Amino acid sequence: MSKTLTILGILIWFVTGCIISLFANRKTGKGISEFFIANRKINGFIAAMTYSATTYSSFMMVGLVGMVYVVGVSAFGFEITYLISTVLLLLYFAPKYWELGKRYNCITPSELLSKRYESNSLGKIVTVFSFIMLIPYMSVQFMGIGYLLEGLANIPYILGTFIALIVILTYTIWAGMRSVAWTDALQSLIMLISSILLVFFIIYVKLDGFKNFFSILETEHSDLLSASKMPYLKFIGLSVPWMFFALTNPQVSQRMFIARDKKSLKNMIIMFAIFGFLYTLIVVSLGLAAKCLFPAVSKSDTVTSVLLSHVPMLLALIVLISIVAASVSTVNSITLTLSSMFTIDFFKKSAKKNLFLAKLTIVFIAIIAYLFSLKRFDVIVELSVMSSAGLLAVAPSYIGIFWKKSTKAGAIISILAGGSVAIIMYSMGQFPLGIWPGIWTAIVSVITFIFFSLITTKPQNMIFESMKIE
Amino acid sequence: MKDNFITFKVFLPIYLFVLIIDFSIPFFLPSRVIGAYLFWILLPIITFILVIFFLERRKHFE
Repeated sequence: MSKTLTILGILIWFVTGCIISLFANRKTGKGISEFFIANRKINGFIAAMTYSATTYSSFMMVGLVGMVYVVGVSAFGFEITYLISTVLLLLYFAPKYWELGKRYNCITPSELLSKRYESNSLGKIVTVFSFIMLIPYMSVQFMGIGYLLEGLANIPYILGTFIALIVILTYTIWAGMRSVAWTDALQSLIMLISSILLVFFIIYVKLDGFKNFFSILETEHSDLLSASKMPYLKFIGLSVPWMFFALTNPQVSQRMFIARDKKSLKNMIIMFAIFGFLYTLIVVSLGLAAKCLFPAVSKSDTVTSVLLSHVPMLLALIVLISIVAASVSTVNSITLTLSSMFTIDFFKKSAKKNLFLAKLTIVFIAIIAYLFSLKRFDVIVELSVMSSAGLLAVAPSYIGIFWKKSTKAGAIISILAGGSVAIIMYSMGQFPLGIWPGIWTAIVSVITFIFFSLITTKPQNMIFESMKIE
Repeated sequence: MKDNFITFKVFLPIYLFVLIIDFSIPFFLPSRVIGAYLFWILLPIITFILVIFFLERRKHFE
């Protein structure tokens, strides 16, 4: 692909995002709540698009395409399990979180925990824990952009990742959540439209239509149509941490606070479900189609690059930009959310100067992730896998908000114990009984949460006393 | 908290049922397009229709 054309394409995309960001800036009022959650005034469509763009990173078009190429529809099952679980969890938890956030003026998920369990220490622990777990995940996004631009357009790795850093800082600092949400809407539309164009081109032009595509699959690659191609324990081990992603990852759970009203929240859930389903189905179909067209690709991460090298240059460029957009939209959301957590849990949200501190934190977090990516540690990929398992340790505390016997001791100990299990097992490479660390993390954090909640007493006159499960 | 989209007593059985069949049935289906592949297309469609039903029946959100 032409280097000049690629840079021109990225420039057009970046300028379009800047124009959107500029409009967002003009609409943005003053204050921390306005900066971090747009004063809870995001409409359903934008909320759905930012939720989608935050959730779906470059893993989909690069990682999942390659995974499907190797293990077939079992990778589809893992991704669909995540989607179904997320939509169902949103159906139950989103209105509750939204209402609690509004009633108790919570801006971050960790602030909600602090208020519910009446423990500032808990908020700080969750903030630091999320930071440790999410930095490798952010670095992987930078690395993905760097490798892709280097491989497809011959743009040096260090320049590619630096471009990403500039784009992320621009969109995030300019107008906070409103800018991130609006530009995310642009990114998600690019992601969906480009993937639709690509899949139709591959299947209709390269494979002579769906009928022939399915016929080749059944005759030549029927093993890819078996759910058991991926070992069952691995399937469970990958699926379970992602099933609770909507609650455990602060960058997505914070999005339950931003909707303008419950109608917007409802629309957010429906449109995210539709987006997630279409995007997943398209990406999986691309992985299967790649196997039919190019059955001998040795490295799964390069399958998308191979596909793109066989489509018209303009289409390849749009898809390339969509992959960059997917990474950028994920990283800017994580950066903004982590910044909000640090600002509120460590600096408090009253002082005016905190907006300056918030922006300074954004720069600090983004640069840390960027510097991490420059080292090109192989271990970063493993660390990012660990992060999804590690973050599972906070799930009992978030779900336990609605359990009247839950206490701060239960919450703190479950997070520390569960997180330690994930870190120790991944660092030692130990999978006791063949069961993946995410499952052990879930078991340990649930047991410790329940046990320590039952043996410790909750504070008197809790502000959330009225919260009951109906 | 009366403005829930779904109550816990309804949510939990649905959530568990959907996930149990998601984690079991596809692994017994044949290696064909109408096997696990089709199953994992239909399961979210049916689930999301159910979700939309729960979201749309509470008109007082409008």
